[in-house]
Amino acid sequence: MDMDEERDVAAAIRQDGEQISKETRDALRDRFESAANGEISVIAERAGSRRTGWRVMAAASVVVVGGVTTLVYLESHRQAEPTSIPTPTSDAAPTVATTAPAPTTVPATTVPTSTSNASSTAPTSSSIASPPLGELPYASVDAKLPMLVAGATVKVGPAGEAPAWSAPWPDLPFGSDAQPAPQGWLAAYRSGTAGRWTVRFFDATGTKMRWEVRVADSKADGSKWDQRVLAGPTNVVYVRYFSERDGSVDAIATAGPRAGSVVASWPLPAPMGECGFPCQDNTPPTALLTEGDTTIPFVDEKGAPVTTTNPFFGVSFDYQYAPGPAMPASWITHTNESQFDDLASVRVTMTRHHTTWTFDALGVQTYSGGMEGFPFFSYKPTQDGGYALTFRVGDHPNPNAGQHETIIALLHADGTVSLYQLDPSLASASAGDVTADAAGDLILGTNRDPMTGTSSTWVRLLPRT
Amino acid sequence: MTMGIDDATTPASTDDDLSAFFEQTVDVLYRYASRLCGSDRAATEDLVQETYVCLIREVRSGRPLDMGPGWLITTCHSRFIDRLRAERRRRSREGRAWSMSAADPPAVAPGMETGVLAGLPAEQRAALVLRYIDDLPVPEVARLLGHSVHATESLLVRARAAARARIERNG
Repeated sequence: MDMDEERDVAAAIRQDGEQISKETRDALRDRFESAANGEISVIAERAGSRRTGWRVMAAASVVVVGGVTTLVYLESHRQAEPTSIPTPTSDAAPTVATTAPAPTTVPATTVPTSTSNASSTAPTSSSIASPPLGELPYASVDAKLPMLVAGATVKVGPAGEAPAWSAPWPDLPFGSDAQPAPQGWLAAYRSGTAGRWTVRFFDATGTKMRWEVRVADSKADGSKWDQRVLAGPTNVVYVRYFSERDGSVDAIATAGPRAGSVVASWPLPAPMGECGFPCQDNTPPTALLTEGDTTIPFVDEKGAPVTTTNPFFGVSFDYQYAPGPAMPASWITHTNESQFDDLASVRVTMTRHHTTWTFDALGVQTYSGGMEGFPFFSYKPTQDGGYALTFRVGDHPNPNAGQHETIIALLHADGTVSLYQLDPSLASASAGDVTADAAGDLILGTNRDPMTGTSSTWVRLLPRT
Repeated sequence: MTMGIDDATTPASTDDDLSAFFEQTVDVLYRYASRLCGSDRAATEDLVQETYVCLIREVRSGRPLDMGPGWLITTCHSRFIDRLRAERRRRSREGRAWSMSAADPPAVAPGMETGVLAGLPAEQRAALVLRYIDDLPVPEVARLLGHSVHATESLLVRARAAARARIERNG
């Protein structure tokens, strides 16, 4: 399709779309005025109250006792289920409404700072039931849910010790769109119209150049591009070049003695279109290629093929989904918010190195803004003596969504930690084993970009020496 | 932006002006939503109403009505895309095959069968609207749709071809 045809299609699309009829306009105006007068909002708030009734807020701290990681919950309480909510008449009330426990407040539990008795308060495998999926106790969400807020610090080292670290440790930023934030910037320059292209890699601030590499004339012949990249898991960044004739992918080392050097290169048979793609550390190189192309292997900073740099190498996720009692349909249709789906449960089973962790999520499957989410987690102790801890971080870019990503931290018995990130629906893991079983203190924080006003939540592991 | 809604008067921050704002913007917003929904009237009405409810919620939460009419368009396509993503996840979770090219076609409103976007899969409609109505660059379309740039380029190629076929078929 040439440019003229594309222009014709664009013009036709701009002419497309149905004009609103008077009847539709009147109907929409009526609903708009009802919403403006609070009628719809009342229903939405009612539904929101139900959701709030399920919300369990907790703060948690983690201490290590004799090398055994222990979770201790500072405080948690379940907000009261409003009793003034009228039951919808046209639909049966959901099970949660009839079986929900009376509002309770769990007294705050003192966190033992001593290392002598903390283990006695830790949940054990025998204290946490694991009912069959689909029979999860919808009305008894575990009050011990460890949902931390940004800014909290989770110590996974010996309690009372000040964090100590001997080398810079990377922050693990997660952007508001649940994508890892850029760890660097790639830019291409050339002097004049006939000069050679040079690719420069800058740090995350864009102010310090880390390395540069001259691009062969056969690549990037005139295409204008400027791409965000992330350093790869093995200190390699993959760069795709565009050409009118063909393309190529270079693997460039970002660290080590060959930093800034092309350590591997692969030709691309298909011409590329528009520029701009993020090269992320969890992006399989196949994503850089055209559909159906062969796989480009990961390489290390020396250019040697490796297979273990995939952050999900050796890790498998299995998802089981079971619907729960239906929510009253009238609540959805009246609000027109599609804010709630049925009660549901999801069991995520993660297997890594022959060790299995199971996470159960249950509650009202929310559709706030259309994004699904399971805000409530229960957990089981891991099989290796460590524990799993879940965090909720990040906000969906849609201001109406308010969805959170979930980070699962596996706290191993030896004090090391592995982090994984799941999207709000728990249907996919979007970041890898980012900490590589390191030991240290987990710290959650929030960065706010003063220029854009956006914020991102990061998790940092301060290693201990 | 070519949808024309930016020409509407920026609303004042009083609740009384909400109705005036509605009157000024509903025509353009409805047509925009209609493109996204492929002239499926029920879906279009839902999408328009959801967008306005978002506006009202923002105002009722204390935010001044200063976001401008373009906010409606952004919210409208954000909610539509959220639906797409939610549907994609649902199908994936429930083990049903999901194909962008085989996504459910919309229920086309009577009289709108000859529309260019009507009958196209939802993801193709969204890509075309974002690219050619909102004039967004391809990387931004990709980010919104949650695809790679290259997948979005392929999606746009297929969408343009499908739209072209409908144009030719309609004469």
